[in-house]
Amino acid sequence: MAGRDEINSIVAVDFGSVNTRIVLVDLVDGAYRLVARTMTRTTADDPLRDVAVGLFRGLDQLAAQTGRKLLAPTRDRVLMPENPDGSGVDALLATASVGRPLRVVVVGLMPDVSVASAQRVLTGSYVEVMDTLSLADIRTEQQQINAILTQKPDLILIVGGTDAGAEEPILDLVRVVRSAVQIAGSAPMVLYAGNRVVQARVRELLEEYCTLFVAENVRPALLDERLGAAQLELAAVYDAFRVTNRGGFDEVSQISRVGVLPTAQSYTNVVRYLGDRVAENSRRGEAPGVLAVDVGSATTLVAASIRRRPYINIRKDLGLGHSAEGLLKATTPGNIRRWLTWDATDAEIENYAYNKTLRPATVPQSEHELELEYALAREAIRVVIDGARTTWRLGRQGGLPALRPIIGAGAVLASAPHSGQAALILLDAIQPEGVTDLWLDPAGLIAALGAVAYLRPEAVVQMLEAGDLVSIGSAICPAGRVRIGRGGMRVRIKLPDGQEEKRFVTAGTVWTYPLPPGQSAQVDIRLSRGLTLDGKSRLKLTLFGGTAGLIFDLRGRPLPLLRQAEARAKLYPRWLAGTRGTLRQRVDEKEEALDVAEFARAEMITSSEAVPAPPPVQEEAAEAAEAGAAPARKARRGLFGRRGAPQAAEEPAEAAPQAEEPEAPTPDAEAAPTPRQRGLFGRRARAEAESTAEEAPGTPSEVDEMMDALRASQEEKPRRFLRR
Amino acid sequence: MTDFYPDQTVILPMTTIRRERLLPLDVPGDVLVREGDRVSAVDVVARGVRSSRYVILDLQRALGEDDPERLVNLLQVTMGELVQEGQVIAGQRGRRRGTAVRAPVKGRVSHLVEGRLILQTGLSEVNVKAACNGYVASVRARRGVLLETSGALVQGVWGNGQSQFGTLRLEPRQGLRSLEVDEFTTDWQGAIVLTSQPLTEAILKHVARQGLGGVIGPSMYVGLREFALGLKIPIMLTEGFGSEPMSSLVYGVLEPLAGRQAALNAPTPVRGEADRPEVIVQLQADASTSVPARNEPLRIGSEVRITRQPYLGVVGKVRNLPQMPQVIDNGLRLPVAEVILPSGRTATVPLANLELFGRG
Repeated sequence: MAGRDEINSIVAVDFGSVNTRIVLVDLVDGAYRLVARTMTRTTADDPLRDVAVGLFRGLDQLAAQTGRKLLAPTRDRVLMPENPDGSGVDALLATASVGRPLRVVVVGLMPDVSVASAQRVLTGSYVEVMDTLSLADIRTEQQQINAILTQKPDLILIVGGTDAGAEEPILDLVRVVRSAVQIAGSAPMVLYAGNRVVQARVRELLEEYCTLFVAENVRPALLDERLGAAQLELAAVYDAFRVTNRGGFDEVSQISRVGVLPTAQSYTNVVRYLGDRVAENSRRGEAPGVLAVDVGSATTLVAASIRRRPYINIRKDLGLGHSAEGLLKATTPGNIRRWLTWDATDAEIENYAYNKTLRPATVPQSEHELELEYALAREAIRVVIDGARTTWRLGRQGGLPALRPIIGAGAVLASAPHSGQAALILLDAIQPEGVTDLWLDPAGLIAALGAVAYLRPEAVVQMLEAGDLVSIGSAICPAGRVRIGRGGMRVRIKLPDGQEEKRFVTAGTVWTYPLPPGQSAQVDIRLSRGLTLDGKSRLKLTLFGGTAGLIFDLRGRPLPLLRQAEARAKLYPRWLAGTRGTLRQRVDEKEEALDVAEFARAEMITSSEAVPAPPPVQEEAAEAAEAGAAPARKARRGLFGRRGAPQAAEEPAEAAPQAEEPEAPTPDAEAAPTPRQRGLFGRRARAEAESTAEEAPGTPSEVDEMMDALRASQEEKPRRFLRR
Repeated sequence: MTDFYPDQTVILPMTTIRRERLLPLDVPGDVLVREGDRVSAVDVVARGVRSSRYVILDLQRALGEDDPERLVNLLQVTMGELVQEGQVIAGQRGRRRGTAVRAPVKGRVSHLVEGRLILQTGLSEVNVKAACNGYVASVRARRGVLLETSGALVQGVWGNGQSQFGTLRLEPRQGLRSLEVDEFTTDWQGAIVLTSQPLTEAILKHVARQGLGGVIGPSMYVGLREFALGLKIPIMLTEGFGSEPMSSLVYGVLEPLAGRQAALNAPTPVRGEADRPEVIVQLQADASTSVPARNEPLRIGSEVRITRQPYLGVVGKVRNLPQMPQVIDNGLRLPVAEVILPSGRTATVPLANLELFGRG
């Protein structure tokens, strides 16, 4: 089998609750590229209960697409490594979100210190915290043991104590755990990530009675939090959990170089990486955040990098299939109804959601059902974002920080009839303010990349740079409340070839200019009173197109939604047509304003008026970043570097109106790259970076840290985590 | 187009059925039958004891014994023994009073761990029933059995967590609500009633009062879920939530079996759990009886059941499988099948909305 340095071709498979997504990555002209992708049904449930069956079906499909043989003639084994004739692959990597979450009991010393760190360790995985034991726990030892046994955890995570701290308190807790695992009929796994000095004693106490994982202390000192090693070990626990539970993961784990990683961890890795890159490429001021949203059948996940700190919020009770029932509990029929163009009854909405829970793989067949599906998707994203606000250190109200890009994933977004429709769902649910780039991940590439990062970090860079995610386009979303039909935005779009388009976008509407992927345009914007873009009323921007184009969202924030179904039935299709670029062309602003004026009198329910649902059953959301001070970053010359020329020529809001006269194309526009050349950040930025990059202070990439930790663990236990 | 493997809901008039009947992992117990034994649906095949609470007795401290290893010699009970409140469980025989340790509560002696005796309390018996007639194909020591039988098998989509064994009856011509206590006969007592009409609150309340054994219905409003979950008789839905009538396929399989004994198991679907609601009617196997086909791809000519509106529950035959995804009415572009409906019309249906029902 090929060694680590001989990995050219990789199959990455992600087992979702409904779909199994498989991508084939290979070296093309010296760089890793997405060669082919496919999707099959996950076969974890009855009647097959074996995910490997779905994997092999998918590999058959990939082979049919590419003409490359991937399975042995017996069709029950993946050909590895790659053969000289081009058949087979060098490595297979597996991630999964299917199946029930890991049930965890957290045991630690101080609730606000080690226990809080333990919660952060757990956020990147599919876990359900059943109980927490700490020094603040007033229960007797007997009650604590009963609590552990009653919850039937799959894992007990023990943390606590600094490396120079007292040993007995943590050992006392370990003894409680030992009593519990000795009594338990089926002993849970234990992950110890506490005081390093007592690791040997912990092994003595526990190893005989349970499967024990040991990681470095999450709090080696009071103000030093290190989560990376524990998160890695948690990935190994997740692998062991998947293998010991039914579903055929044992076979997949054997052939996967990284075992079976939680998909959420891939999101954390990729978003953390993107956040670092965006920050490096930011010209000045605060770098925008990065957001990835994955709406699945069983889980909705939001991964974000805000102020260069990665966060992940996973709601295992929210989804469009298995967890549609949970979604209904987390929101209300009324909240769902406000996104519909007809007056659905509570019963219609509830029956739809519960039937999706019963048959999660089915798809809407009528227009009404599709609207309901998209309404559920909007609410799933909204609920998770609302929950994420506190972990992002934002208030319950107010706008979100600048997010650029926003990446949508999950079948509901990837299979939308038009990418503009996917864009509208994202804009409605997230309500970003300012300028953002919208991307789609139809192939499940993020799940794959996060796993590939462990073997070939450079592949992540190369594939994102190559544009293997789909760009929907740029969205321009002014902040401020609007009255529909009153005021708006004057837009002038200038293409590199001199073509020009002028448009007045009326408040309360959406308009899309069809700028193809990879093309750039100079955009001059003037906003009416009360609306601002990045705090300004006049801007010049260089923007890039996408499958939808440049989306001008003049609906204001918070989004004005209509209470009356008849009004919604008239206005919402206009919004959809606006994002799909099918709204009839119109330049006369008076005519446009008259057209939508009827809605100005309609009764509004701003989106911030969402009826609160009962508190979430389970939400694990916390900052995934390590909190300790970090050493200076190494410069990344030759990869992305810093973004070169300014993207936007900004003017303060109070500036005098700008004369509308044609301008010569800027060098930026002239140098606009071709679609395939431009990646997530653009070759342009890279080319400029090569000439202007300089040493920049910053924090170390946690991906790098994870890589280092992984390699270290690889040396220690190559058979357990990285299989060869 | 590469092969597509649809979901499967088994609806067969005759098939071989294998079902595991196991104790929960955390419930120690015994298997009460042997391989090859014939069992009826009401037979208990495995029995265990579940403990809701553990009491820890520090014997080492109570007895003043330095060496925990020696405590074994001081035990006056054996592991697994059921002890009564106040019963002496450890102490040095013949010594003065006060050195004996008594059980503070009734319980089962579970473990002696490092000088501490663990008593399981809050005990409750767990009985695993066969839940269908058949024979024991194999035994898993201390866990349970694999049963095998033959007959009709109809799987549903939702159940209320109950199970029952009784005579399968068709609902009265005037509907279930026409059953009145006055005219109630033993024919209906404990019967599992098949109705092709959606279940309503009035029907559910009525059948709960009448002493029926269970109800197999097509659908009900989701708001009745909680009420149905509170009933002590099994309710199984074959189509889903709403007001859909029963699929002719389901009714066609069960209707001829009226009067036979049926085992209705209606577990509530839980994510990640294999158990599905189903009704089994044991029938004599013939030479051609086999287990339901699984891992079957969709083929031209396959008989399929449609699982979404506007054709929910309709059974048809695949006429064509277009190579490329098609745009359907709502604008989605999806892999589809052209399905001939019973009316003779051909409908374009997304592959994801088709299921096979077990025929090979």
